[in-house]
Amino acid sequence: MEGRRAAPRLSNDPRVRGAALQVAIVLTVLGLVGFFANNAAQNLADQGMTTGFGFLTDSTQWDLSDRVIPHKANDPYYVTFAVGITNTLYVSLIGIAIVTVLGTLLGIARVSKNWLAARLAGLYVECFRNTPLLLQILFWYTLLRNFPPPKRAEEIFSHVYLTNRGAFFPAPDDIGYLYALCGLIVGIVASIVFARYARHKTFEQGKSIPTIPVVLLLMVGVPVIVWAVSGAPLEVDIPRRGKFNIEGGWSFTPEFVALLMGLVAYYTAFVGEVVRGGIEGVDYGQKEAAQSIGLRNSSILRYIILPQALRIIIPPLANQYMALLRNSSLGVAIGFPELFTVGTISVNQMGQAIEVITLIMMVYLLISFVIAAVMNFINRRVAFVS
Amino acid sequence: MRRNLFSGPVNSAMTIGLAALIVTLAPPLIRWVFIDSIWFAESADACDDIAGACWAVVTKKYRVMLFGVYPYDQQYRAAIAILIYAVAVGVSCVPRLWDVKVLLTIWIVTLGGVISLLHGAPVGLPVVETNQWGGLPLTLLIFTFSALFGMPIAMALALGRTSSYPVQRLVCTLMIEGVRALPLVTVLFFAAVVLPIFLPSGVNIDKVVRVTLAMAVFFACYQAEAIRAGLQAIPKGQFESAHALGLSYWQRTRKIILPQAVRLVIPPLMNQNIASFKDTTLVIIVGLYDLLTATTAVVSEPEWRRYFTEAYLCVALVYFSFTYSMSKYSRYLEKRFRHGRPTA
Repeated sequence: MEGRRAAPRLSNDPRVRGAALQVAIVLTVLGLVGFFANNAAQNLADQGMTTGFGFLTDSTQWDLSDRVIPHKANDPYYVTFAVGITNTLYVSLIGIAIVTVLGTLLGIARVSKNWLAARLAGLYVECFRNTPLLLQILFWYTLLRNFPPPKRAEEIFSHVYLTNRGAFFPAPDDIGYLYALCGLIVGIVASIVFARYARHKTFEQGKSIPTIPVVLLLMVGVPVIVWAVSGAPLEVDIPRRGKFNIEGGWSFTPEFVALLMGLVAYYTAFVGEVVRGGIEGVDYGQKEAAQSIGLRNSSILRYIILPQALRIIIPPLANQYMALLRNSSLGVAIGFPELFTVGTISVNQMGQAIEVITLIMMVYLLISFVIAAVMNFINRRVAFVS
Repeated sequence: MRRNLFSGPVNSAMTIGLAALIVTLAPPLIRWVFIDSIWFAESADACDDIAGACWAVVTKKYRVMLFGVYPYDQQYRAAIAILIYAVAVGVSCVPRLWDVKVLLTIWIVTLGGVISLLHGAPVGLPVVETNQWGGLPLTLLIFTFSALFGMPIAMALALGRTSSYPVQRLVCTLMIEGVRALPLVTVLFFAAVVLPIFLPSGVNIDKVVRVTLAMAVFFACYQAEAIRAGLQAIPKGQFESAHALGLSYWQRTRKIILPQAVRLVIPPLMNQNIASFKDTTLVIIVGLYDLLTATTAVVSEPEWRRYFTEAYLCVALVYFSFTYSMSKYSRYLEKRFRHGRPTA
């Protein structure tokens, strides 16, 4: 025995222990899944419930108040869910667009040298960031529901009505307006292409090309020309007092407006903080260096500060966008028919909670995955290239 | 003053505009809140012809707002529960008592006491079932339990995600990323409506417990990412020297790695706690009667319907005072741990 080291016990070998642990975890996970699946099968069989996604082609017996795509009360469930998904995307994308603009302004105000502006922006952030989003949404909704009914509604501006059934605005009523909108989009795309070309030329020749007049011409001129060519329509659909409700015009339900207001007011505070962090994150020496080589203030912001701030801003900004999209599901508390609301109504109507929640979760996973992929792509584009 | 407010034409215009805004908005607001308002009234009729705020909705209905559907004659118990909470929070903020064992004892005793008091059976009072719990005590219970249970789950998930074993890494990454992509309401709905189908027949877990556990898991997935950042920020030498000392995995993790990692990420952890506190309001969707649900119920009564602004403002102030003090406390902790010795 002397001089011979005892062989290490098998259970002390880190590789053996690691492998055993991993096998144990796999078995536990599989066991739990089996256990729950078995219970579910048993419970559903006991209650004689139908399973599977066959319900998607069954007809719903209910209609939805808000919809981006057409929907009728006897449409099948898959159409209803499609309405829910488009509503979720609709309110979220509008919200994200508004929040980006307002949040940027708020963030700039926060770092402003103007003491009053910085303080007021700070007050806004503290108030809206520190109270629950759901409370804010419920407050806006109650506020909108306390407007007078359509019968007694008064005009706020000319032909604009705010009632407890929604807000009504005059709407352009001619196909020519749609063409003009397409013209605007063409103008914006052309401006982007031109701006890139101009920047390229500037870097190549060291001579700056004036972009702003050309961009303005493209963005204003193209839509106006298109509008004029399509007959210069002036028809407007004006909201009128009908028998039960206000008819015509653009209308927005209180549910939609309350949810949008809540999301915008809340996430503007967060995006403002993200933007502030980004601007403060750029080293002050960068600005001084740019000044010392004689760049103008606007050029410093455009070519020195903003690209570096953007690099800091994009990842947390993406998180805020995704949070906004996820929390559009709070529309359920006020009855805005987004995806989750549609899901809960379906469960109340026909059961099949497992299938419905699976469907909803899969859609949210997919949406999050797509946004994450897009933001990662943008992030790679602005990332530091060394 | 000149440099800050009137340095140029744009700046001066902004200052004057904002000042004008404050001057026009502030006096009517002050009149509404303090001068033209009614603070106490027997019924909403008294508020019919005043121009100011009707704070009577709060002073008259504060018991419904604070305690929800808890039986009226037993509400002193809910009030005592809130007091016990306040004392426990106060005691936990004393740096001399910052020791895991002491704090755990304090909170186990507190929560045990609060639950026994609210339920009644363990202390021989009339039983109040959990479906009658409500208001601020429920909000606090859900928050504290989800934070307490969430922390160990978060640590386990973060350690698993940074583990050298692929299976642990995969399971924890899937869990964290999957849950973080979902809205909280879907997770709560799952816990409240779908989970019972997956349990063996005859096994009934209380809805409040299911929802609280769901919140704990949900928030843990966010906390786990914060802790992971802390784990990755620890110099490799710490792991290696702990290894060289012959410490086992659990000894290294408990004594060397986690204390440093958690200390590094106090601000994001506290931010997440603030977010969790605000998100406890989402239990309204699965039919629990928390502070916000109770307030919403008050302002849906026809009598008080017009005074929703006052009621919501008041509740917003309650939430604000909690979240604001949490964020201030987080700043204090951060400063304390940055300078000087951590626990003494």
